[in-house]
Amino acid sequence: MAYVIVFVLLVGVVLVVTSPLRRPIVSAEVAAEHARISREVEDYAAAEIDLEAARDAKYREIRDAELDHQTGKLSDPDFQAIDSTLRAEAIELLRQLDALDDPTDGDDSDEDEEVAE
Amino acid sequence: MAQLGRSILLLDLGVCLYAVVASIYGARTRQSDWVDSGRRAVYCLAGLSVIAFTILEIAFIRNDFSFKVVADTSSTTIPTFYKLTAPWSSQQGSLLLWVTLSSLWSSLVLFITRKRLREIAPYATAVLMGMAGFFAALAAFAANPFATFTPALTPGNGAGLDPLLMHPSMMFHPPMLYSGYTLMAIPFAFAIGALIAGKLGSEWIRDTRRFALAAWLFLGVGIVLGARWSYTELGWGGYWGWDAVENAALMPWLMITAFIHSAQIQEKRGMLKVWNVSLVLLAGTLAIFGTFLVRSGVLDSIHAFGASTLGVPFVILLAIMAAGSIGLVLYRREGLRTEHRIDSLLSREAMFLLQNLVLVAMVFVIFWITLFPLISDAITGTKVSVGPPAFTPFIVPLALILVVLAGAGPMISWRRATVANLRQHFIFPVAFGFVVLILLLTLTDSGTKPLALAMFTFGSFLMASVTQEMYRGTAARRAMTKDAWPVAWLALVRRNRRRYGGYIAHFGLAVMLIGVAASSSFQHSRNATLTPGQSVSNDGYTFHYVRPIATATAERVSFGAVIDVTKGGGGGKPGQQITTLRTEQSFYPSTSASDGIIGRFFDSANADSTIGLDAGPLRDIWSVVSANLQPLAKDINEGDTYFAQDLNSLIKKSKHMTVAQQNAYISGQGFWTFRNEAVEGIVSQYTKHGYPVEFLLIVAPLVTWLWVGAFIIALGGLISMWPAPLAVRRRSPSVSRSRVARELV
Repeated sequence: MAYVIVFVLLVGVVLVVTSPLRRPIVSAEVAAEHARISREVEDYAAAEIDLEAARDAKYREIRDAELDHQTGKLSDPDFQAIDSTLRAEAIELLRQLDALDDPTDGDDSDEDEEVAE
Repeated sequence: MAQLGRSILLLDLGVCLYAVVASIYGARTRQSDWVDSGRRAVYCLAGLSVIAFTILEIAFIRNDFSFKVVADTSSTTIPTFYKLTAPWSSQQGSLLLWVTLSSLWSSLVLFITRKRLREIAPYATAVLMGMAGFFAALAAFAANPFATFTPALTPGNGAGLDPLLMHPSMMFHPPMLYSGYTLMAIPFAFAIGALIAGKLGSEWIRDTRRFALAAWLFLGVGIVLGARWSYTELGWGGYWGWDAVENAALMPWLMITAFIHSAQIQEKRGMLKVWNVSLVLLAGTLAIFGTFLVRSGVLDSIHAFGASTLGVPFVILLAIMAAGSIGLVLYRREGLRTEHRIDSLLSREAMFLLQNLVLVAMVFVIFWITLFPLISDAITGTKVSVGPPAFTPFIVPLALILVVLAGAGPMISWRRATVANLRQHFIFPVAFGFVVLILLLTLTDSGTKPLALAMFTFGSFLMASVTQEMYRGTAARRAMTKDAWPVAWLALVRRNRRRYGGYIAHFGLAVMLIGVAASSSFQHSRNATLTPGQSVSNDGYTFHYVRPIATATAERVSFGAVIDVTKGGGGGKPGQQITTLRTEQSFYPSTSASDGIIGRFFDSANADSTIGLDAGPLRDIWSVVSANLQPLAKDINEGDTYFAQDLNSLIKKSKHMTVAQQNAYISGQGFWTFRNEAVEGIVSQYTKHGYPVEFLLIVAPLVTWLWVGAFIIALGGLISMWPAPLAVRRRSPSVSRSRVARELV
């Protein structure tokens, strides 16, 4: 009985572990193209996740600075300097995120300036 | 079942090796299919290990003594609760538990990071599986938990669990420590992965931060549970003895504490990359070093039950980890250059850095003093033993500095602080510390212990600093939202879990260290030999030995005492009744024939203590009895001689029978019934005669606050670790400035 269970486990492990390697057989060119596209998709997804994480970290930094200011640990001029730097960095991250969404969607700095005004 | 377990262990090993090869191959050739395959192998390892560990647990619950490990560490008489905990009391079970926990944590981190850290994760997978494979190989070939006896040699009962391990903490203490150690491997593996891949930013820190925090939390809880076990089970009256194995757990905990703080500097400022990666690599290596100390038995320890001959493989693993870590850091030293410099010494970064230096100095001191017996042995041929006096002159001043920095850090802003800001923030905590100092000097005798007094003062400063931070943060929140104070406070903590979770942990540190300073400096300890009816005084309390108690069961024989504790009185007046304590020393039957048929029930090497404890917010009254068996020795020896002769005569009469028939014949003659009656008779002498017995009686202040402080620290850690609500993902192109403002609300 033990051997049967071990065999079943072994088959299960082999199936799970090799599933990413078991692709339909296609020509070398198609396979290479498929690999290139999937790499691009993965690169895109990874870049997006990294940028989102960086954005969240930057937001956390801005909140920290705000809290330091509200609790009196940062003076007004220091806070303004730090806050504007951090917000500029956050904007840059958002731009990179938007550019990922739509590479043709170019510079929206005009819009930014409009809002700032 | 054992065969299945053994096969799964071999399968585990194969899966680990495959995961290492597939992950490295996938990373080198940039073939994500192979990387995915390696990651799936980790999931398989987790599934297989859980099955293997379940098989072992079932063997313990079913009293399957064909398993050698069950026969060695369990018996039919131990409660089911302790049967469940018995697997990790053995070397074999511990190794399997390690593989199981390691594979579960590895699966979790690799699942979370499956779509990111794509260049780092494959190497991290290889490191994690390399380490898991090391433990799986030890379990498969050096200390197999599924080794069995042949049916003919299978014993009818097991040797039982070490009495010292029959304590509720044992259900959680080892798994917590192992979880801490195995979680420590995760930042270690990702740091190695980052170094190999040359991805030296903060991404790997960001994605493994919670695992570092979890390692810190689990290891910390494990250490405190161990201290509690020491306090209530070992019968020496203390909770921390600077034992080699205690130190082995404390060192990686201190190191990861340093990392948790300094990692924030790298995340925020891109600074301290070499420092952070070194801390993580050291913490990971120290975690394995701790296991080596437990398993090798190279140093004398209260954990000697875990000692074995597995020292050499661990030394090899440690050498590989240390050499690999140093080599990689040197190889990547250019990429690890800092992006920024500290703007000002009056900044939180500077405080964190100073605090890091203190923590690392503590580890340095503990490391060398712990290893001093080995060093002295190597140089002089004599293994010098070291105890608390060797540690305290270094550790106490460092702890004092740490408390001051933990109080000052939260009051200083990132990047730079002005003198005016500092003055505004420091006035209240410093004044509070001074008030406490003056009150203590005037109202108590704490001036006689300057280091303890300093800890009370600095601890008060730290608590005041955290309270002020909470108050100011809540007030700022209220100014915006007009919420009620409790609502505003909860919202503040919820929105800034990392910061305020940390502050709560700092508060707990102050509470805990105040408890430690008070209980260790102002403890009154007294040894006394008393007969029933006699009394002795200690720190204003009168301990009256009321009567002896004794019980005999199949599981153990126990000798104890009932003690009445009163306060005041004198001059003919009775004192005020405070509590009644009951303490026992229990003896578990040894399996050695040389101890004698009766004597094996009174083996002092197989005994544990149940303390009598009255714990309170201001003081603990602690007592333990050391049973005096000397007056019973004559009866025990005579019993041994009589029953040995009787048994020999019964064996002679039944020598023509098979072993099973012989056992039935001896039982049928009432031999074992008479033996049990003899044991009960000897035990009853103890209560009849009221022999003098030795007590250790302790009155120690504020011990409870040590445990309360530890609980607060763990709570703070949990709050810090808890994931924040998912950020709203607005993916449509937008006007950036307004979007930042909107998403920050």
